Amino acid sequence: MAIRILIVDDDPDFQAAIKVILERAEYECIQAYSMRQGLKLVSEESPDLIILDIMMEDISAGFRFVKERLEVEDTNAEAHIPILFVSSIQKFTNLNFRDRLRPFLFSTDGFLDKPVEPKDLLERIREMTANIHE
Amino acid sequence: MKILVLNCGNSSVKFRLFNTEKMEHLIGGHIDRIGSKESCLISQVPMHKEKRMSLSVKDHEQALDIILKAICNQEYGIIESICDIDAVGHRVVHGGEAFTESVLIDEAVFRKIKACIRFAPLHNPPNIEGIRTSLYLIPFARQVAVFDTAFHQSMEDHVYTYALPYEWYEERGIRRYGFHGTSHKYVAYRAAQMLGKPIEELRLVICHLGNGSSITAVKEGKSIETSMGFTPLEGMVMGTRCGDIDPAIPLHIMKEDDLTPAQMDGILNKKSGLFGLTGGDSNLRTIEEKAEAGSERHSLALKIVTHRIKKYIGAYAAVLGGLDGVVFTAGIGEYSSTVRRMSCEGLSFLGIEIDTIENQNNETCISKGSTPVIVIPTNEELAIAHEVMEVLAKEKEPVKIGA
Repeated sequence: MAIRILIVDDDPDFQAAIKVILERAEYECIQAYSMRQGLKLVSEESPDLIILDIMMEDISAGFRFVKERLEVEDTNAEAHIPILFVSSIQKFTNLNFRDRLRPFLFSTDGFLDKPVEPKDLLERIREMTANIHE
Repeated sequence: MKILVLNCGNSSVKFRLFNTEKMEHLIGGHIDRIGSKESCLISQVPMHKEKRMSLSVKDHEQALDIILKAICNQEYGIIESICDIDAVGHRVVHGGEAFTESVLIDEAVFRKIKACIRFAPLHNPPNIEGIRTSLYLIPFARQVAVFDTAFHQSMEDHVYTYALPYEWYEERGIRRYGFHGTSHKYVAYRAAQMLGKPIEELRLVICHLGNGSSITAVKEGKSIETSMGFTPLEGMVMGTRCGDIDPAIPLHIMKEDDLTPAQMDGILNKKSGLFGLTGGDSNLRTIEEKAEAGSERHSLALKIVTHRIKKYIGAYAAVLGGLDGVVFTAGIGEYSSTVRRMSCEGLSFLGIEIDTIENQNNETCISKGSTPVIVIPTNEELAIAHEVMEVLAKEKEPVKIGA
């Protein structure tokens, strides 16, 4: 069974490019174009991994996505779906969000800066999904 | 919902945390002298004594971090963690023509606020730093920008366009913008409540008189004319700013004294107004005392300030096509009965007559004529919190694009 990845990003060009890369690597893609649509699809589709942008309908939308997920996962630890941030926020703000978010994330979560190399993205996804469907 | 309001200046951060259920403020205060070793955090929880703490604060990020620790202080039990802050409202001085109302900050908004630095090179950078820092330290909160200029974007083109080469407007954005918009809007709506009439039926002149002062004509809830212009220098005589002058004067002095634009800017913004007139006093209370004690120069300064206010009230009554109320607000407007009395003298032809006793007692309604004259305390932080609530109430699911 293919590993299912939810891509939450408001940039249709990024979505299209990532979808091609992931499908070539035989992942199944689900797409959400906003934080709220993303949250809806997480509960409806139960993906194996979430690729998450941060600056979407507002500048902190991705962070609030995490907050909402944490509230769900707090009551059900098994419900944790690993999150891979793929965002330009660090470059945009010149701030280290990778470290800032560490206390709020699981050790299995990850952070990549945009623009992302397909090779780096696939490698990271492989690491993060290594234990899925074993 | 908990809303944190931030007002970041060059070397200060003012803050106030609101609980929107009762629209009460939970804690407020400020950090001054950021960048020095002698900074000071002053915080106050209602019903508690003000707390002062001397610190060394190197930048805005450290300042906000200290503020957040004070807010999350278990002694008061205000909030447990930063995760409890739902939204942050940022005062942003200049929104140019890009912003006609308060907005939820996204990437594009952030870029546009940065682009407005050219209009407010001293004010917008610390506002932007506040947004950036707040995003970092309070990542789970929505960030909302509330602009000083936005309320005045309803002015018509013949009101905001200067009689200067038109390309200056088209290519460089030289036009009148106006400031203190959040305060003017808040006070106008409060006035409508107090007068018991819908704002859509009112023609108001709002006199925001503080260290910086501006007067706005508000018709049907919209700003149709305001005294500050491209910068806050235009209009009223202020603490240290000259207000309206003949633009040929600075050119003349620059030529005679061989001054640079920066030097002249310093004189017009920091050495003029009440300060320049009196030879060093910018505090109105001091000026009133010295005028009363017989200083002719201080007495002249008072007359100049109040003559300017009167002139604008009359002009704006004409622009509005009548008057349903005059409102005084901000430091001087709320506390100086002398300024209110002198500004309104001789305006009985507009129905403006001040009741001497009520004015001296700083009552809310101080008029005995047909046009109400009222004193309303401004509350810019509360006004910003209201703006944030309005923005969040309008939030909608964006249209799905693509697959």
